[in-house]
Amino acid sequence: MLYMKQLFIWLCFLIFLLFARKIHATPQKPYVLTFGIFSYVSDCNPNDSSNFSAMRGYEPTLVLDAMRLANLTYGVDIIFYCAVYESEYTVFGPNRNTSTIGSFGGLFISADQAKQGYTLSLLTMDSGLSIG
Amino acid sequence: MLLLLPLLLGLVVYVFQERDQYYLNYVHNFFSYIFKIEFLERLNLESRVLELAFQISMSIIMTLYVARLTNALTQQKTFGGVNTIEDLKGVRITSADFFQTYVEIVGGRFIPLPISEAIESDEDLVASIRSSESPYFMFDTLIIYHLAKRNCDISLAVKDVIKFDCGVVWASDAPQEIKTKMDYGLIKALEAKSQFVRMTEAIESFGVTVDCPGPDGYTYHVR
Repeated sequence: MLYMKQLFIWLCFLIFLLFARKIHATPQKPYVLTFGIFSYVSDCNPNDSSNFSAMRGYEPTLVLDAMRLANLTYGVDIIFYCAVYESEYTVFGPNRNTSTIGSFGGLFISADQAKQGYTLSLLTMDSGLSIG
Repeated sequence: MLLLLPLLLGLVVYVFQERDQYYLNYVHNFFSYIFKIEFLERLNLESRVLELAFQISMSIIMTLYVARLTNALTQQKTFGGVNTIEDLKGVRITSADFFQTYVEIVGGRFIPLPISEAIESDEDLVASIRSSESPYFMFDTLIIYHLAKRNCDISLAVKDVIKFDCGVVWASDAPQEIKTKMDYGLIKALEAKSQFVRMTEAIESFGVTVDCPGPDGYTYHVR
């Protein structure tokens, strides 16, 4: 009987740990969208990641417009972070920040990303690779 | 050289001949060497020597011209002479590692971009491309436009050999509500203002300094 009681306590503790981890891992508002520096597509100050006034370019403007049209508020629902590719703040980083839910800035919509478990939005821009 | 030498030698022969003949006749004869073989008759020794020198010099000039033209054509052939996607087969193309597959898809020989990890600016990228010693490089169309505006020895050879779409990449645990709302917002935002208009506005907002002439698909604000 004593063993059963101990087993029950351990089981509860394990469930608590799993639940706590789940809560901790779930992204919380304001969600973070990251982007890096990519020509005219997206630009920001990498030394001041949250400096909104330094964020400019085609895609940040488009995503802000999309947020406005979808009744999402910058600062409440979503904030932007300036982050270089594969840093901890992007969705691709191995130590991804839990609030980071997405990245943009000239990122290809490809089958590879879908295979890696990412989901993709509708297109923000059609582009191409050229020979120079 | 082709115009001045016949004129000069025609006048010199006119002086040597000392005949009551209009000097343009001699000049005409020398010019005619370029187009047809019509030797002068009854020339004295000095004139014949000059005529011979003229013929030798013309031979040298023509030989050099043909040699240089051949060299230029051979060089163009060696480097690919790229005008279409078909011309890219076997051509050395430098690019970032993550574009290797795309270089190989178009049939090019992939040359890794040197010091790619140290590239932090356009200047670094251009220096890296140059140090690769590849005649061609593959990058995003927009970046090539940008580089060509600032570096006059860079130009767009073939546009959009690979087409792709860009978008927001969502993490697997991103809330579905946000993703759905953003998709809706993106459709509406692009309906309200097209990509072309938005990109033109974005480029203008960067106040791009244009150093090189040449037509392209985007409009630029010139400082």
